[in-house]
Amino acid sequence: MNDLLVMGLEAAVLVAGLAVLLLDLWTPPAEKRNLGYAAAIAVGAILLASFAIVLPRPLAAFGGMFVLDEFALFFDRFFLLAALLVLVISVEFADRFETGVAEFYALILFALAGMMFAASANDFTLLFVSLELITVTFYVLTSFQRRQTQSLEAGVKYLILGALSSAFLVYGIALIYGTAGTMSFTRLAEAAPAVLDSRLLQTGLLLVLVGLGFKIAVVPFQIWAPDVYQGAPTPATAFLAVGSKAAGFVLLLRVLFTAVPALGPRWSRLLIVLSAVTILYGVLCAIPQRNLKRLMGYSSIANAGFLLLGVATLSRDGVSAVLYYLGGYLFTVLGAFAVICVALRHTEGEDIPALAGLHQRSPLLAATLAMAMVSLAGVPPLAGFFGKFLLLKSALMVAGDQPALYVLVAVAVVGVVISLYYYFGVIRAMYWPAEPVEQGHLPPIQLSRPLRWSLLLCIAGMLWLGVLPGMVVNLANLAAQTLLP
Amino acid sequence: MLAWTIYISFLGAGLLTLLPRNSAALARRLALLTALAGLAVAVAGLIRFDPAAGTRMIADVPWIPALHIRYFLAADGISVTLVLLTGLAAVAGILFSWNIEQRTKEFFAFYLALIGGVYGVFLSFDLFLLFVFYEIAIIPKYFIIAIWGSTRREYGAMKLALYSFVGSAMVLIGMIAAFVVAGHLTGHYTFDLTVLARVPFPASFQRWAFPLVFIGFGILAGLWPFHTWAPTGHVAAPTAASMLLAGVVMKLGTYGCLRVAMTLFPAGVTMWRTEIAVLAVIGIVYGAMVALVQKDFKFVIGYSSVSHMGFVLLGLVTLNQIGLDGAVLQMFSHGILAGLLFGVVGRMVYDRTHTRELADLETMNLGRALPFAAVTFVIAAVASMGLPGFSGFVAELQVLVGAWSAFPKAAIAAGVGIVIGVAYLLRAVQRAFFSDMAARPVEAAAHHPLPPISWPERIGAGLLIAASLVVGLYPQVLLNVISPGVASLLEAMRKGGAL
Amino acid sequence: MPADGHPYLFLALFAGAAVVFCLSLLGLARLWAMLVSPAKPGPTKNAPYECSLASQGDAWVQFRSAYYLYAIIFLVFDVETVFLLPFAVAFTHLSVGAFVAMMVFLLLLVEGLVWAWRKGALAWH
Repeated sequence: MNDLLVMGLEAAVLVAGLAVLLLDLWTPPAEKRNLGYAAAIAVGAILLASFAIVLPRPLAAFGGMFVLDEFALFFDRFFLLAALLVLVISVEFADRFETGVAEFYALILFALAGMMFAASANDFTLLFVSLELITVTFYVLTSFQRRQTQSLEAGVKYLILGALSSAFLVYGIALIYGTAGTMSFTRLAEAAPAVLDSRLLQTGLLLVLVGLGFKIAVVPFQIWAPDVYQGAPTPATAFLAVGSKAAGFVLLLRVLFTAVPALGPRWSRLLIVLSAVTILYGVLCAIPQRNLKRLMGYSSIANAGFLLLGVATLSRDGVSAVLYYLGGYLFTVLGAFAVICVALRHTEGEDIPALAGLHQRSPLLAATLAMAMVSLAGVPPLAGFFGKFLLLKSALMVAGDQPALYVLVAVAVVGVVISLYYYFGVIRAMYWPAEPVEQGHLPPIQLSRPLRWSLLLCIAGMLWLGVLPGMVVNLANLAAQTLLP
Repeated sequence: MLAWTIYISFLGAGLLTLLPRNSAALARRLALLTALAGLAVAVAGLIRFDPAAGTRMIADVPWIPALHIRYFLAADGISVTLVLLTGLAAVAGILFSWNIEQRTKEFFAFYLALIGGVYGVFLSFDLFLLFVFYEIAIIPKYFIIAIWGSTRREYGAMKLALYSFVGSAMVLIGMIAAFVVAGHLTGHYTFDLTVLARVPFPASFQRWAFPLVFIGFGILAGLWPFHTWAPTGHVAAPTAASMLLAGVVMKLGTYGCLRVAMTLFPAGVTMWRTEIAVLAVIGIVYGAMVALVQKDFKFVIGYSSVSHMGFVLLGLVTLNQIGLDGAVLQMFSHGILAGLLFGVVGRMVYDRTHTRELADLETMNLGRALPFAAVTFVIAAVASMGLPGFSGFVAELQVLVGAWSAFPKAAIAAGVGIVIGVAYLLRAVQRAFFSDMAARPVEAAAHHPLPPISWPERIGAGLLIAASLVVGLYPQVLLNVISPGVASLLEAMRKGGAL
Repeated sequence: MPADGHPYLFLALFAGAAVVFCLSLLGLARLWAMLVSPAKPGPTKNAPYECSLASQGDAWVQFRSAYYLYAIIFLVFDVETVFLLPFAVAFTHLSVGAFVAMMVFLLLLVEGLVWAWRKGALAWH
């Protein structure tokens, strides 16, 4: 019973998901859309409850397979907040689904549960199961608009490449178990120094890295990202961009720092190269993009590269910076996708020029998207700047021991400067389009109250993390401390 | 009290965004009121500033304790002078953009946000805070040019933004590196400029960190060969933005060079000062020569800015009291005069004639049609040439004297630059206002009578001319506050290994 | 098997012999074909081999998707049995926690069934 209590947050999310499915059966069709609000309220309540948890020391359950420490708790809150905002966006999107609105909400909750399990995973079994729970739900979520070829295409691409990466992952786990004789991160850490030189173990870990690299869209496993981002329903894309990516990172951090801490120094070159290549690929490919969601896809690849920079430092500062960056990324990207979701239905096509005149139709939407772009570009005083600052700082702190990091920092800075070009392009399209639009063609866009609050929350979040970063820095430090004492 | 310049400006910007639409008149008045309040605070700050007391603390509260970042504002003589310049330029800029009708309140909101950021840079003594304000100043600049600009505004705005960000990125790396290295050396991690200035950074580190930060800031100061954003940006910008850009924003660059790069890495200055002096002199001469052949009136002024900023950079690396005094005074002087020149070209001439081609202006007989503009431009031009009695003379003379003892050859070359400066300004005056082509009556009559110079323009021009005259006739009013600040910086730099 | 050889030597020899044996048979067949049956393709010869009637139409025919639903719902009970049987066999030795866990499992399956039922998945349209 005690074990069940330790995973109380996850259990609550699962119960909420099941409840949404059941409630759907007795809800009249006109009201189904509002189930999303009910789900959002439930998630919000769980989020609040998570702040009541006090952890004097890390808790473990199911024979150490599941841990609840500050690190896990940080990510639990992260995922809950992300899901809350995604659910509000989903409600806005819901009338574009022919059927299965409630299932969409329920699937988001199940994916959320998978992410929260991932945050607490301390065993390759749980790692695999939670990752599959996330991925399988996303197969459905990405192809939810089944009459649209684009959405189906996104789903199929994600399915095939996802299955492939899962195969790599399982194979890697099998090799690890074969050499080390254990699935548990803690016991692997004890056994690892003796067997680390084994080729098989290293191959296994490399294959696990491949599987996780797919989730976080790191070059060379990024190929699916732009297509899936473009084709999937916007709320699914938003959750994919924030939740799935963060889940990949939480697992990567656990594997690197809990399961095989001795591996870090050996891989640091590899991680640095991956990070540099990912940043450059993301920013360079984003330049010619015209489709807004596709642009966000490439931007998410670039951001994966920035996050990997923090991982590559292999220091507590680096991990803390990654956590902080993810926090800022949450508000920024979800704000952007909320705007994309609402704005693109009132425009012709999803191209960036279609945003022309958005500031006249809805100043709040335009302001949110503009701030999100500025934050993604890494300009103070918004969250993105401080996140990048922390990442660069953590890299320069340890660059004395690993000079390749100097090169990586230079690459990252070049990437930031290049990225300004396309982020500013979006702002330009909204505020001063190349072909001015006539006033009459642009009816104002009405925003529902929950959406309005969500947008304001995203703006507040971006400003909060940019101007008064102290509190979140402390939280991130605390979480990083449990991972790297 | 000086901190209120920052708060007032951001408050004004915030209030403006809250105004209802189509309240252009109210927006203008509110913006002017805000800028005047800022100027009043700046003047009061100058009067109450006690040069003997050294750096004056204004505010110091922890901001991000985990990283030892503080909200630390302070002012020495250099800051006070530049804050005053910002106040003057802000008021004049608003007076010169009184005729903006398109999205007035957004324009002034961005304008005041930019001003607030600039005030913040000049008053920050925490490096991180300084950087944040520095970046805050860049964004509104981009918007102002891209929305309200003229010729190739998107190109100009994007070029300016990208150059600025490349510079900021270099500064950012240098700044974090200084933080890390200082922390490793002393065990105490901080961004406090006064503390960092005392850290003995190893020479091998200063060798690359100094040029990184100096050039990073220097890009915004129009350091040759990274100046190319300046003419296109100035030309693309609306009048008020050109005034601010040339008058104040370029000073952010030189200020950063002095306050951050040179103060933190004194040994680095010694290693690189010759190279920088060469670049500065090339900037002076090259800018002047290019200005000499421009066909567009505004480009003449744009390149003249590059030339004049070269004097500031040259003054900085002389590393002697008189040269640095001159450099700071030249920042002030050029800020006033560039504002005035851009005001005449952009507002008084271009907004009326809708052309900036000198060949077209020649036919319009502007000396007769707009006598006030002509007189103002002539005054600004002779002040800018360095005529005694105006601020430009005192400043450039000091820079030259300082440079003479440090780099005699550079001083001679810079003197040549001044001569060319006389040439291009006289050419511009002659062709734009007093061309004899305009004597032909048929051409002149083909144009509608131009609207007369309005009162806001007269007041704005008068304010700037008066400021230049006061400083030119009685330079001690500023030198008394600048010199002690410069002296203490120099003292610290000597201790840190400069020269 | 030689006593002093590598333990895997036997396997390697065995695998080698197997490959050689297969290849030699295939080679023989090929040789035989070249000698006695020259290639003379014809429409009858190229037709797919099938006893009784000649095949007609496309093999890609549509099935009713309702079959899938049945298959999936069947899976629910199938899995249930797989887990229930060992549970029932060991029931007397199990703790309360195991009982609760099993009930949660059953509850999930029941909810799935209820959901499918209400959604009309069991009705044959």
